[in-house]
Amino acid sequence: MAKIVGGFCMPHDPLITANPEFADPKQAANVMAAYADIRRRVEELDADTVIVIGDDHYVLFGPGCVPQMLIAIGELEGPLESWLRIERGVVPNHPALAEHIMKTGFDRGFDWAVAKTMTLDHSTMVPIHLTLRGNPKVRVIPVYLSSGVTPVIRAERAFAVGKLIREAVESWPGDERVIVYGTGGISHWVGSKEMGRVNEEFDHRVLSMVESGDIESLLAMDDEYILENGGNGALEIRNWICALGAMTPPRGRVTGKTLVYEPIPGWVTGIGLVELQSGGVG
Amino acid sequence: MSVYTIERVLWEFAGNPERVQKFKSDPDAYLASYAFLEKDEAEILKNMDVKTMAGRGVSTLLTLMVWQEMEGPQGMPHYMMRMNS
Repeated sequence: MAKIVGGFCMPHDPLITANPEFADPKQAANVMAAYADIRRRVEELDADTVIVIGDDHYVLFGPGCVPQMLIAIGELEGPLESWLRIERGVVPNHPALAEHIMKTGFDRGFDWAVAKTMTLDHSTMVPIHLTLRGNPKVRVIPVYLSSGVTPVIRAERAFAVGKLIREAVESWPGDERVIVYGTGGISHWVGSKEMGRVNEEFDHRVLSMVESGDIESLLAMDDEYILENGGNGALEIRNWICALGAMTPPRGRVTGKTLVYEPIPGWVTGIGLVELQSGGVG
Repeated sequence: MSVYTIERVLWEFAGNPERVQKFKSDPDAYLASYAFLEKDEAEILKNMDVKTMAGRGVSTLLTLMVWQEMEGPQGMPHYMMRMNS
């Protein structure tokens, strides 16, 4: 049976690849070392499939359609944005498992929007580029939650989507070894007058909750609190919450180990990378 | 008031330099095709008044993206000046 063998939370900040020079060199080196750690861990865990949870930034979907949750089941390429300094190319996909996750969702009341083909944006491509490209074994299944563009997915629903992903993977008859990425920055203000602000206190609070597996407190942070303390960009910690849901066994819990935290105003983001661990029964 | 139509106008600029060029060369004619756009909203768009847009609830992800589309990456300081004016 297929199983989820690991999970990570990490930023997808486009400036990491587009403008590395905007960050303090030492901080940038620390962040890149943590991405390299994740690349190595993916290999150590012998993973063959990575489910990458990102969010649109009004790059992919316009005001004509804002899907709460979307799964890409067909051919993938990326990135869409030419300015990321990431070479555009094919991203290996796993259509059979992706369709199984889609159908399991339909059976359980999760009416996915579905992309039959997709050109991925930075929210999935930056993590793919930094941790997976060059790994010949890994195929990707992208999931997009509406955690950047309003109306934003509810935190509880993001967590439930993660649990659904786990249930679907574990009911797949193959022997895939699956890793889940929850992507996004912690505090960051995108395009607003506060852009460039980083709230370290908020960032440490979020990281502490993730490390201890305090799902209840993560879910209790409402939109108003996040917007005030973490900025509009911080709503995408819902992607992390989804990954936490996927890493939570039915009768167990999830915890996290922070690989690095760097507040980087030049990259306009509180940057955190975390390895998740499932514990307990199930 | 149609915040959503402002977002539509901006979003349709993304990745479409021909539309941006048409807008810049004759903004009134360009914006006339948007039936739900009110006069003051057309003015805000003509002036690329991102601060007012943000105040009305237009996504700042979108204002930032379109500003860069129109001005290039070197336009960021001007964007922040406009946003903080």
